Amino acid sequence: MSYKSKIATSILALAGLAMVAGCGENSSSVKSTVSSEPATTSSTPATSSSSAPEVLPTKDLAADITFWHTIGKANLDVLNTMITEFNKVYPNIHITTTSQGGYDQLKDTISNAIPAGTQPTMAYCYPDHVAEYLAAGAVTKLDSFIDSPLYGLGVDNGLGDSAKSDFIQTYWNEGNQYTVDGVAKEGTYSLPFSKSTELMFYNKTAFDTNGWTVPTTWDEMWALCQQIKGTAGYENVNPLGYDSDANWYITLSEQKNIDYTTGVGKDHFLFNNAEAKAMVTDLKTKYDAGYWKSQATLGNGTYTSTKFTAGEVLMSVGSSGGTTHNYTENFTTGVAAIPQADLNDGKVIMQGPSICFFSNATPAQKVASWLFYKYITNTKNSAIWSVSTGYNPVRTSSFSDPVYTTRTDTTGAKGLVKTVADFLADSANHYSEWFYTSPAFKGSSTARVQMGALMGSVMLGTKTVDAAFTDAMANCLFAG
Amino acid sequence: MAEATTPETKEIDNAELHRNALGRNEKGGAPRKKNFFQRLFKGRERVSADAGEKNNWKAWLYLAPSIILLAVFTFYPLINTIVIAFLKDYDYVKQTNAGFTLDNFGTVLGLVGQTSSQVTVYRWQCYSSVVNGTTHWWFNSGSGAISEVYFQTDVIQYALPNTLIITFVTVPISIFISLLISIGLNSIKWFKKILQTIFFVPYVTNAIAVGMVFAVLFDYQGIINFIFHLGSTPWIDQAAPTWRAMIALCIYIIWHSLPFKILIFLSGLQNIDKQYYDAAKIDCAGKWRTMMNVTVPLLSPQILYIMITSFIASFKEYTSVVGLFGSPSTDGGGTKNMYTIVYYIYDQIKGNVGYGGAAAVLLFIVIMIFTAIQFQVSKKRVYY
Amino acid sequence: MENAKKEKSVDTRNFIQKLFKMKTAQEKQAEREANPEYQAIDTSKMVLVIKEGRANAAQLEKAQKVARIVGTVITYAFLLFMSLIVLFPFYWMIITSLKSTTEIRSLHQTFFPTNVLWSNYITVFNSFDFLTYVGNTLVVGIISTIGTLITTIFAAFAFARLNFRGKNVIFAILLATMMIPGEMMVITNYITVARLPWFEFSTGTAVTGWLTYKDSVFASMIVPFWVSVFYIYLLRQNFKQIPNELYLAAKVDGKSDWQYLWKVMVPLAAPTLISIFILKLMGTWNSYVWPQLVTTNNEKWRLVTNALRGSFTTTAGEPQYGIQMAATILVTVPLLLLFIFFRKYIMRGVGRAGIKG
Repeated sequence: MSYKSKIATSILALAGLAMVAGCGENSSSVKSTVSSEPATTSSTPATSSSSAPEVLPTKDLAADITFWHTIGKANLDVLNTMITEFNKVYPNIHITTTSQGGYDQLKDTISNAIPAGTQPTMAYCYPDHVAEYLAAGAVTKLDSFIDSPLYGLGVDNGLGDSAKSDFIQTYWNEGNQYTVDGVAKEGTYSLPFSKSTELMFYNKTAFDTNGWTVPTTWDEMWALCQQIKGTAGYENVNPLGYDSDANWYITLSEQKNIDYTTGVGKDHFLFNNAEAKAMVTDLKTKYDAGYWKSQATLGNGTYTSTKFTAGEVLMSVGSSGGTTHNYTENFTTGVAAIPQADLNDGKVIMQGPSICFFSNATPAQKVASWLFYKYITNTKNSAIWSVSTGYNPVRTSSFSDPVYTTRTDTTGAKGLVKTVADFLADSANHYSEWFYTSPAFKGSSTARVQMGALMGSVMLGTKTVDAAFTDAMANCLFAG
Repeated sequence: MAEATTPETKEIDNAELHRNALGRNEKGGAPRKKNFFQRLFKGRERVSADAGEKNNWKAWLYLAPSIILLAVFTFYPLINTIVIAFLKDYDYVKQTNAGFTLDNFGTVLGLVGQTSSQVTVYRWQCYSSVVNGTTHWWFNSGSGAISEVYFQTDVIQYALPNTLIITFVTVPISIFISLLISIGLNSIKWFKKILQTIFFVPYVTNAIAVGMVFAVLFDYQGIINFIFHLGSTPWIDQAAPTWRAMIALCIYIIWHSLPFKILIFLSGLQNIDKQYYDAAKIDCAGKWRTMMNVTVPLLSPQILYIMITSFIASFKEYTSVVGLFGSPSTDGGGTKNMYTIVYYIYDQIKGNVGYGGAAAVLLFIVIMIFTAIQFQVSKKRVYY
Repeated sequence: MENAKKEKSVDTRNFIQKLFKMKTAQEKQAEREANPEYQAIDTSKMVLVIKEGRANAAQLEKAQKVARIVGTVITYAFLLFMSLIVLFPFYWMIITSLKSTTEIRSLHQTFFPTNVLWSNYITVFNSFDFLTYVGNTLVVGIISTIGTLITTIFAAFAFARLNFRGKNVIFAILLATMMIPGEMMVITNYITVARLPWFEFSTGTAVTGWLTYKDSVFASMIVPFWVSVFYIYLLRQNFKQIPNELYLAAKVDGKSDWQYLWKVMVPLAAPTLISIFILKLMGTWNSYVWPQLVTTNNEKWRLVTNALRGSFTTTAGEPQYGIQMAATILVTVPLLLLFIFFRKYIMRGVGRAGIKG
């Protein structure tokens, strides 16, 4: 063959390969898993099934389910104990749990597993993750399970259950406000499990000594900061430490009713507006005056709790899951609500993973995993989980459960944990009413990351407010 | 092509064989068309005794296991990547796409932008204005609605320059240092084992764990500032200017890449026949001359290999940035000033795979160009 | 042809000289001969003088010896300096692993821990099942490495010694595959692996399909990486350095290509092969992304690095440097021992090229 025809042949071959590969991508349905499958992982088409499968929750219901999570070694024992107890009631349901590392890793692993057909039965998830899985049609709609007469919420299947109304309602809302491609998707697709929130830890000793009052609104907070900075001996202290810049931005937007994001329509990212910029500029002034620090401005991934315990910060707003880090022997730590813009319309962020169920499981697996979920979120277990891990219970009745109220170990850091627990249980603090959720859609997690970055670069002075907002928009739009 | 006459009657000398092989006419003039592709496909091997068809099937047999595995696990994903780069809105979770487009390349190069309602706009359709010191781009969609257009500038502004700097700074320096070290190691008599093991240590340690150590060393209160009496200069912290952070990054990369090179050079040095050194000694060649005229040329296959693979590897540099900085920026995520191209790709894979694919194709082309240049330059200098 | 080339270069030189009005060689010689002093030289009276550089042999030897010693000292000093630089971060890792968290995070860095804490190592041992993971990694690593060696030897032999059509093209294509970042290929490979008929990704313990679940997970960690273009290229360079005469000698002795490969080339390339063995084994040891993806359903089959990363953060996510460093060192030490063991085989090298005289 002459060289010309050789080149032509090879180009044709490459083009042929490309077409073959390209063809594989144009089909729009999730492929079913390969042949010769055992009974455990057959796949149903990817549409989220809402018809109740005809599986009865009898004691000899047999299924193999997988549960992917990010629970660390320390708390794994609690989960395993729950599994053992669960198996006493349903001995034929075999549960395999695997830790997948961090949340990002979990999401990546699940995202890779869905087109390959290897996703688990149930998994930890964040709302923005669920939005993406939902867009692929991979998560099950849970309403039929919730309302089922056979095993719904409120039906006692030997699992010590109570009603749907017992769930903290603001947690519940997170699970049914998903949007796909700008259109609201009706139904519940994820349920809460391991929730945390933000609290303000303050140096009670210093406050009492100097006669300061704990601020409840932002105006009071800034006035107090100014007062602290003027007090002798505290000139070099940053009065406020807000751990998560992103949380602060989003919470402030929520409190002041400034547009942030929306899942409906084509325009998802609304934060590039004048009010938001004014808010950030205002924060920058306060930062330059030395009133506050945050994780981004401290650098090196340093948590404000570290500075708090060292006495360089007097009020530290951080996650309730990190309570123990705010404990120190040098002074008493007090717990308060985070400041609000309007005390009649309080907004507090809720964080922490929920659980979602994947739609390619068999009907038996779905019911089995549903029963397991009911078990680990019943009143007693929710209280047990909260006490062991420091996360909030998901049921109101758990707050009055003896496991929650009477703690055996209240020394040291555990004492602070009890203070937090009591604080959250006290409805006078309104926390359970004040939880809000941000819209969850494909790309909402990028927005949150960008807000943190925006705050960091503005406060550190590497960008002007305007440039920071423009770049944040660009990054959100181009991250898909 | 001139016909060779029967061997008994005429001696064919080497020159004539060459001429025949290359298709020259008898006067030794140039053949009809000689270019790179023709040479590539024809091959010059017809001169040697093993040329011809009979080796084909045997060679393919030897290559079969490699080719099959590569085809499934490397060629196929490669083609896939290239295809994805040309698809719009490719979603790998749903496995859908919206058709052929060149916009991914445009976006990566900063030529194609989006409005906040996800309308695609080209840069030449927009007009710019400077508001509060920053340049904004606006698009008039005709019905009176003017919307702001946003462009992706990370690659052009940060990723590409950073990658080029990393490559052209770290590769020559590390090759030079590792060459000196391995020649030195080869020539000493005592402590040989210990030193060889010591120089191999950086390769054995996990890149990201060691990156954390370097982050501590380069901290503004860290040891480096302490030893060199630099006070509180920030190298990788927020207040660090990009150029200083790049210096720290380059030092880390060089440190980490030394052992592999030393190992390869050492095993190459072991293969050099002692006879060459003896011959050089007889000719009274000094140490430097021996090194330049005997060692380096005989080591040239390994040097070429290291040059090519180091260039390619440093174009793909990514774990070092993660290890040292944790994130692609020195200011908490605002400006991604420590991006490299592969870091950008890796970030995009989770969101919009199309941009990652386009950047990967661009990277591929850039690397191919540089590798081809290196091959051409090295042709006369590599001795087998 | 060479004459033609020579003529051409001479023509170019003449052209350039004429262009810049320089004198050609002939013109210069003619000028010299026209010089009367030149013509007056009487060549019959010329005497050849050999200049002696040194007074005697002893002084010459001494000078050489001094030069050698100076050279050795410089070499040692340079190597020592570089080894300090190379070792310093590693030293820092060790002392960090022996410090407590507060000391690590304190403002003032110390060169030696104030309290030597072995508790970090104990925590690591208690935290995860070190031996299981090491065992997994060894199994995967060794099978992977042996497979790689075989495919690499075959392919490098084909490229270095055999001649076939399209050899350069294929090699260029192989090199091209090195230029795509691996991260892009992970997702596609995962989907491929999940769809191969003999890979079984269920969680059941029953053996269905061709392999048990554990075997198929291990296979999916091993098989995709049985070929590495990096090592094929390296070995090819090495094979090409083996002189042609050896091949012709083997042919004269009547040996086939296969025997030549295994009896001559492989032993000669032993240092490189051992290097490849070590590098590949270490690659498996340090690999993270792919094993993490493939072992999603069972933690017990993960590799060492998977177990390490992310295991040692506090519940709030703050990394505990001391424990992480201790874990990293525990994972690193076996690799170092491996290298020390194999080092002498690499460095033994080849005494002669195999041809006498």
